[in-house]
Amino acid sequence: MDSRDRILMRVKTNQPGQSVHQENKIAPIGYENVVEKFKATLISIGGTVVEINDVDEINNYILEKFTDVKEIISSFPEIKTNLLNADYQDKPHVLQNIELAILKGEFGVAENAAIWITQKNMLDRALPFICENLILVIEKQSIVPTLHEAYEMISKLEYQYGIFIAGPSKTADIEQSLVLGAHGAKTLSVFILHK
Amino acid sequence: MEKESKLRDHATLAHAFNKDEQRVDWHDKTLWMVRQKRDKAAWQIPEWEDLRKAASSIKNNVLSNLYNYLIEFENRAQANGVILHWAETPEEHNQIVLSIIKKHNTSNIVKSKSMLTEECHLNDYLEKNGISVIDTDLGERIVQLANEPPSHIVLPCIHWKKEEIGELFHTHLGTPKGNSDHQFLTNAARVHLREKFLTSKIAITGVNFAVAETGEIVVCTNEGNADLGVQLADVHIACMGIEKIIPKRKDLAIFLRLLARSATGQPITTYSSHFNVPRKDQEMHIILVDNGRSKRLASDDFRSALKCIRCGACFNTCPVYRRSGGHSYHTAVAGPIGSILSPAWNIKDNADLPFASTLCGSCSNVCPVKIDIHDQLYKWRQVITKSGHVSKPKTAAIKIMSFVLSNPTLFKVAGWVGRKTMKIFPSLISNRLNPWFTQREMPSPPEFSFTEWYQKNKNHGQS
Repeated sequence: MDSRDRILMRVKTNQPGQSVHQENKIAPIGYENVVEKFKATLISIGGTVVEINDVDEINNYILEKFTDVKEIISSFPEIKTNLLNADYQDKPHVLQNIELAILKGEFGVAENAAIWITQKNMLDRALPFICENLILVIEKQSIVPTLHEAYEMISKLEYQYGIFIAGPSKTADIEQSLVLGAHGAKTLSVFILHK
Repeated sequence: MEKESKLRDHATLAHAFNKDEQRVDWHDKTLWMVRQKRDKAAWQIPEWEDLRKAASSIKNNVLSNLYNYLIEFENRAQANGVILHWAETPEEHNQIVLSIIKKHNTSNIVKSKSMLTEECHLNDYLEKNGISVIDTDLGERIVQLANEPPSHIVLPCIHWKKEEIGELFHTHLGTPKGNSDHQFLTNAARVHLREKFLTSKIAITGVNFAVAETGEIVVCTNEGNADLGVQLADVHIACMGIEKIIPKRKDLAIFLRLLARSATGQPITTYSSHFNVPRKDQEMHIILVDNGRSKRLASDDFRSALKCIRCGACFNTCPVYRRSGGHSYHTAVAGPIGSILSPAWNIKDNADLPFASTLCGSCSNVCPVKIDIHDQLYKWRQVITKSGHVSKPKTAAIKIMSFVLSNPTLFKVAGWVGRKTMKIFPSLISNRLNPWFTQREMPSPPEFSFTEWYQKNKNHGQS
């Protein structure tokens, strides 16, 4: 018998007995306006929010807000960038100089301003973390009130790697003073697309 | 630090911490602020108590069916392409990590926060084998540079002042002397650690939740250090206790709603990463550690401590933790939860910890998975006393007290003697030789006992 068998045998002997996994009925909080709740929550956790009618509008925003930024990468063909995405796929270390990444989020959660994004929309798994500034684009209709509705949506999905991102990377390890930009993206801007 | 402090008990270490009164006040206030943030976050969710009940019932179900869930998790994770390991003891866990490192022949290793690796003293073990691991959580890096263990499971350097961190960074990272701006220091750590992320071959992480249904693990951070480490490394090693399993992916909704709100008052951590299948060309290992957990499953009194999701809410609310500091607990997990976990690992060395509590019950009230922490503290006291691990003076004092309390005549006489003595010779009781009074002031003794008062007044009771 190896460690695995010994551990499992002890667990089987010592566990207190069968009980059925119960469906836990939670009546989650509802919000009058999920978009407004999402926006307010995002701002409260250090993010920026912009509502747009067309992805093309992001180009102007970048010109205006990220004036000195040169290394830009995007998964949207509508957004003008100077880098070829193909050169970066599966080469995470090459991404270290990326100043701005624009990616598509799958949906947003109003209660905590988290955005669900999976590997297929990341260009590379390292990109959302290694880039200096991150822009996520979500559709207005995709915002759900709480994580319960969120997991209803993803509970049946297949993904290799998925993540909820809520706001920019942060730490308060020095005397509980909040600093945005610990190891991941220093800023997060979310574009809510009206369609 | 820790090895040294094992020789002393909580009261002695807390006494040392309390020498600097201003610092204790500051420590107390900072943690209370975190507790208040937790309250504010919880009160915004009308279904909060239902969430706690649900989380508690899911965890109870996990403990009742852990065997099946572990098998299910193993099958699913292996199907995802993950290599699974099982370790009965901390030593075995550390050996597995070392063997993986040796196989890849590298000394560049980053680690994000994992209380399990603290429990196993992984860093010490690897260091003895000539391998240094870089802790990448800012708080953990600070205490690592200072050669200290974390003092809090969520806020590892909550006991450090920014001026001291500035000094530490000046010595180790070459920041300008006297600069203690938190923004500046955080950025210095970002630059210092970015280089480590980019050159590491192996990334070690903890595990917040492991889903039996899918074989995925979920890791929560605010800094992004777990993801940055893993996504840039050739090898990902995730270390978890066997109790971290939850049945279904959907259950994550309940736990992720509770975790960060309970920990820091945030609605969710910045990053909640779901690792299913390793990235292309990456090797992913999960080490499942027992270290006494399977044995504890058999105990009706102490089993429920295994429900803990390591949010730290019980630390922040605890009047004893806030005023004695994490290091006075001399174990990897401090605070109320540490005080009920640690005696099971080593009853002799940790016999003092269940007594480091006022039994006020606040820990149980804030626990997101409804562990009866204060009841277990009380039960551990009984186990420890029965097994003879209480100090001799305390045992003698309790025996005398029990004798006096069970003898009404003696109780009356003792009360009279006590009142007279305190009145005539107050310094006889309230002096430096009596440990009870080192932090207390004695009230003036009453003129008569309650029994005497009652005898005198019982006939006037009508009014």
